[in-house]
This record gives sequence, structure tokens and C-alpha cells, in this order.
Amino acid sequence: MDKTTAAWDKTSSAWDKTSSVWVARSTGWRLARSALAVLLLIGASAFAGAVDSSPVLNAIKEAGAIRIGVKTDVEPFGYINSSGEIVGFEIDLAEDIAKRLGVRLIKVPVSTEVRFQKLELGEVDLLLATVGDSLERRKIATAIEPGYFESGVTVMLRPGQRLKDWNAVRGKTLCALQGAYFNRPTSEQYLLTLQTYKTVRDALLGVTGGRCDGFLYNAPAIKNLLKKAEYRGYTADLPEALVTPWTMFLRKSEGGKDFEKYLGDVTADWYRNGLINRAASTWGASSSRWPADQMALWNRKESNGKYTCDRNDKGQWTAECRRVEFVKSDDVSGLHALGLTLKENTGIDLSYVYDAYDRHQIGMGLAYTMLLTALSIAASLALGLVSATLSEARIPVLSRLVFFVMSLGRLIPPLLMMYFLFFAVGELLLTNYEVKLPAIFVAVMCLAYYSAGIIMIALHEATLLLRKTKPSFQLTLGTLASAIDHARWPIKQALINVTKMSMIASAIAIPELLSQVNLIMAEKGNLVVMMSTLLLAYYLITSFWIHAFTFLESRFYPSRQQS
Amino acid sequence: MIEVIEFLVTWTPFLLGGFLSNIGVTIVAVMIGTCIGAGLGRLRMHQRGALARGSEFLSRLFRNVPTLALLFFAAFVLPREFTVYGSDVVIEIPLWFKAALGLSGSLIGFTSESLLIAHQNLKRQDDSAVMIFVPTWGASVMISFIASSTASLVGVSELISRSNSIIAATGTSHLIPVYLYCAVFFIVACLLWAALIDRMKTSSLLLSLLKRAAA
Repeated sequence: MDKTTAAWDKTSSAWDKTSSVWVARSTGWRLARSALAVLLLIGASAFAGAVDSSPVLNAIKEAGAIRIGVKTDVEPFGYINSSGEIVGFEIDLAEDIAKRLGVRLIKVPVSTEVRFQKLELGEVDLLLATVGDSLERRKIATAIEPGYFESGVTVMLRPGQRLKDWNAVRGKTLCALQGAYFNRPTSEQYLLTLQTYKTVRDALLGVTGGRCDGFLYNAPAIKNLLKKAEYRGYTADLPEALVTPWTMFLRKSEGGKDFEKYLGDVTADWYRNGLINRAASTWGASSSRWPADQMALWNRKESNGKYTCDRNDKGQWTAECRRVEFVKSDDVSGLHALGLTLKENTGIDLSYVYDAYDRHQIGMGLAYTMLLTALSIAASLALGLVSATLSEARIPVLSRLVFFVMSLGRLIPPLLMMYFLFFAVGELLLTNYEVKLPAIFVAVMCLAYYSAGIIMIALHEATLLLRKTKPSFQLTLGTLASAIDHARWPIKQALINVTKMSMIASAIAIPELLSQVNLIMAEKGNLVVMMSTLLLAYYLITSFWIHAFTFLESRFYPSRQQS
Repeated sequence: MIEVIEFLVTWTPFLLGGFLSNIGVTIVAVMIGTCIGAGLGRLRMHQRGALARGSEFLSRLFRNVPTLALLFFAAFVLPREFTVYGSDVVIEIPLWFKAALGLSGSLIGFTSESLLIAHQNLKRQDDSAVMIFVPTWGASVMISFIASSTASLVGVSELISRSNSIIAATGTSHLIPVYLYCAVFFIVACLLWAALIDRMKTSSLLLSLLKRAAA
């Protein structure tokens, strides 16, 4: 007893010592840091305008080419025209940048969901891809001020449901894009249920296929969609909300370097030499106030003949030319000290620990994944057993037909089946019979079709094996149990494979774990942490199901255990 | 009808190019997965202690994590390029190679497991049981080939991603024929592969190869 107390005392005094050392060191560090800051300030004012050279710019010059991440599915900003070229308002701007630098332009198509990952990984040098500026995004990348466009968000509604203001949208289900900055604030404010897709094409197929009441997206792109014949009768009368500048983005480490300043100056020049105005009218890119407001601001001059918008000695634009009313989507209410402390001390951003919204997303993703997996397992097994019995029943035509159709299942990618059933057949059913196929039904059926074929063939082979010892063996509902006994291993493998494939369902907007993780990653930029979480979570989920199968196996076939 | 056929014929070279990358990615994944998996399997057979336990854990990890999760991990967490240590040589990792790395995961787990089973059968002098490795390996290659379609979700321009591109670019209403046409590509390739595996099942060359690997 005494010993332990003494030991305890020792450790606690040691603890005191280390913490006091730490305090001393931290005050010392603070002093050094302020001294450094003063020095830097003096240095900065002495060499006003001198900025570090950018590694990205150097690499561009060396390669003789700039890789700009652009959209290919948002008319009129960046899209593929009838002759297969990527064109649009943003492409004109990208071409001007390449021309000014005297390098070749490589247009790299990016999606809303993965554009920041591609930027951070260095697969593109610069993003010019309908990115709205936000505080969140400035945490993971460097925004170029000023913006080259501005827009708000609006809703394109299916025919016959006019809504007069945003409050009337409350509770609606809308199709949206994974990773759009306005998803979270609008869904929180107006209690929207969002189905988020990976591309504009998929989201629009969701709208026309009647899976949601409308499309939540940036207003100019929606205005452009409404001009098309296929969206006749659709409306978008809601006023633009959350008006935000669109800016180019560089990697985070490029902040404060000369390339950032260069691109800012280029953008300012676009407003002054009229290029942006010409490009905007060529492509019909405008919003309620833009470009008139920015044209006036950037061309206005003070009494001394200088532009109102000019860089000060810190290299920043005059305060009134900067937009600081960014959408604040990171109201970290419900702070949990653990997550934040971890983030501050180690840089590991477990946002789903401290952020209630993210936590809810992950929880929902997990629930959907488990539900989807359970339903798919049940459906695969049922479909597999039924088709095995039918195909072995020697019914003329039917037995052969069942065998043929079901054995095709394992030869077709489930992802392809899902696109086929969800978008192609789904639209056909809606327009002709007003039947709406639920996404989860589609996912379960596709996964079941894929695996049921494997189960059927395994049972078929088990039947052939049983006939070797007992030639009269016939697969019926009564003898199914003994056939399953012989086909246990392949059936179990097929079911394990089902649990591993459930995440494909993210492609048709089912909010399962992968979708939710992508959503958080696009907002928070905590790539490695979220990806590692995903791997770990799926490892545990698959292990759970393997244990469940083994348990059930031992319940039904206690005699012989197989690994 | 003729209009649909014309449409499909027009885009066949484009789709075929995409399908070739499905095949290419799968071949690279199979090579990586089989080699690493065989290595892990052999470590499990011949080593004791930490090395055997470590390779068993790795095999199980690769077996239990879904291919798509590995695919996302490989595509977004692995660096785009790296510098060879102690030199100025910069090696770039193309996206399709990352996809192949992600796809190889399940093959690593599978090969390691199956080789261990073959090893046990070899000890019992059961040659026909050793050869079970071939059809099960063939089946897992087919699963990987089917899974190569999910590489479209990380931006690899393979068959399904290309079919979506032509649907988006042309605004066609022939969604059903386009997707069915893509399914035919996969069905034909899988049937050819299954026929090949059926022949390989009795190959004496393969048996001697397998016996050396599982010895």
C-alpha cells in the first residue's frame, strides 16, 4: 500500500516537473515567436512586394504546360461540345492564363467530389472548376482573390410544383452533387433531404427519373438547363441564396507565394481589360448582379488616379475589394474537447468525433451500410436457392431459362446493373407507368442477381457430386439441406463478397458509409484520416459478417466445421 | 432500331478503348496480387513467430477490406509521384496503376489463403486437391475483373465511365441499349476466361508449378 502511494507521489511530482518545464519552454517559445514576428514585420516592410517563388509556377515553366482542373459537365462554364472539345466560360479564362504564361494548356476534367483531392495530390496545378469560395475551403487550399464569377444557389423544380420562397422548400427531397459547398447550410436551414450524386449527369437523371422533387445547384447552371427542350415545364423561381464568389484555387502550400499574387493580378486585369465581360456575354454566364457589380468596383479610381482596388504593402487587396461574407458552414456547435484537442496537437482531424453534423452523417452511413448488406445477403440467398431448385426441377423450358439467366449474373458488374436499372429502366418505368424504383431496392436486387448466380452454380455442382454416390439424387426443397452442406464454402464466400460489394451502392445516391465519408472529406479535407477510418470500418464490418456466417453455420451444421 | 445500332457502332472504338483499360488494370492487379499473395502464403508456411503472424494478419486484412475501399485509398492517399531515395529520379504513379494496386488487395488475401490450403493438400499427397487452386484462382480473377468497373468511381476512363461519358455528351435517350451493350463486353470476356481456366485445370505444367509454389 505504502509502496504504491510513494510510487504514485513520485510519478506525480515527475509529472509536475515535466509540465513546469513544458510551461517554461512554451513561454520561451512564445517570446521567441513574437520576436520573430517583429523581425518578419520589419523585413516585410523593408522588402515590400518581395514574395517567395512558387514551386508550382516553376514546375509549370519547366514543363512548358499548365494543368488546370476544369468541369466537363456544367454548361456554360465547362462542358463537352458536339465535336468532343471541352469548352466554356472557364475554359476561355484558362486559355488566357496559359497564353499569358506562354505555356501549353492541359485541361484535366475534375468532378465536384474529388477536385480538391486532385489539387492536393498535384494531379492539377490549379482549379478553375466552378468552385465557390468558403472559409472551409480556405482551410484546405489557397483561394485566389478576387473571384472570377459569383453566383448563388437555387432549386430547379419538376413541372407542376411552383414554390414561392425558400421556406416552402422545407422538407423536400432534392437531388444534389456530392461535395457542393451549399449542401450542408441549405439542408440544415431548410431541413432538406438531399440525395447526393457524383456527377451533374447522374443528379439530373435522378430529377428527370422522379427520384427527387428538384435539383439543388448553382443558379447560372440551372438557368442554362432551363433553356433546354428536355426541361420544358421545369421552374426555378427561388431567389438566389448564399451568393458566393467563384475563385480559382491553388494547393494550400502555395499560399503567399508569387503564383497566388500573379493569378490575383490576372483576375483583376480581366475586369479591367474587359476580357471577363466578353467571355461572360459569349457564354451567357451571368447572375443577378454579376458582372456589373465587379466591373464597376475593379474599374473605379480614387481622386489620385489610382484604382480603388489596389494591393497594400502586405500584398493584399484593399479591404472593400475583398469578400469576407463567406458562407460559414462550419458552426462547430456541440464541440467535443477530445476531437479538437487531438486536431490541435497532432493535426489528426477526426471531425466525426467533435462535429455533431459529421457524426450524424457517419452514423447514418453505417446504419445504411448494415441495412443494405443484411437485405442483400437475404435476397442473394433466397434468389440463389430458388433458382437452384427451379433449374434442377426439370420443368421444360423454364428450368433451362432460369439456369441461363441466373448464370449470366456473375458475369456482369453490379455497378453496370445498378446504372441500368436505376437510370435507364427507372426512367422508362416512371414515364410510362409512373412507377418509382427505390434506390435501395435497385441496389439489393443487383447485388443479389450477381451473387445468386454463384450460389446456384455452387448448388448445381454439389448436386452433380451427390449424384456420383447416389445417382437418383434430385435437388428439391426437401434435399436442399444436404446440397447446401456440400456447397457451404462457395456459398459463404459469395455472401462475404456481397458484404464487400455493398459500397458500390454509393453510385446511385444511397447515403451509405462511402458516400458519407466522401461528403465529409470534400468539406473538411481530412483525407488520410477519413480514408483510414473507412478501411478500418469496413474491415470491422466484414469481420462482423464473417463471424455471423460462421455462427449460423455452426448452428445449422454443428457436426463438421469448415474454415 | 437502325439508329440505335448506328449509334453503338459509332462509339464502339471509344468503348473498346475503355474496355482495354479494364483488361489492362486487371492483368496488372492479378500479377501484383498473385506475387505478393504467394509471398505472404510462403511466409505463413515456412516461418514461425512474428513474421508468420504478421503475414497472416496482412492476408486477413486484404481479404476483409472491400476492393472499392482499397481503390479509394490507393487513388487518394498514395502520392502522385515520389523521388527515388538518394537520387533525383522522380517516378510518377499513373491513376490506372493506383487502381490496379487497389484491385490487387483481394487477390493478395485470396492467393495467400488458397496457397496455404494447397500446401496442406500437398502434404497429404492429394494431387487433384492441389489443383483445386486453379479454378478458385480463376474465379477470383474474374471477381477482380468485374470489380475493375468500379475504377470508374475514382476517375479511371474504363468501359462504364466511357459509356456514361457518351450518354452525358450526346444526350442520347438510348440508355438501355448502351448499358446492355457494355454488359455484352463483360459477358463475352468472362466466358472466354472461364473456358481458358477449364483447360488449365488439367495442365501438368501448372501442377508442377503449383507443387513448387506450395512445397
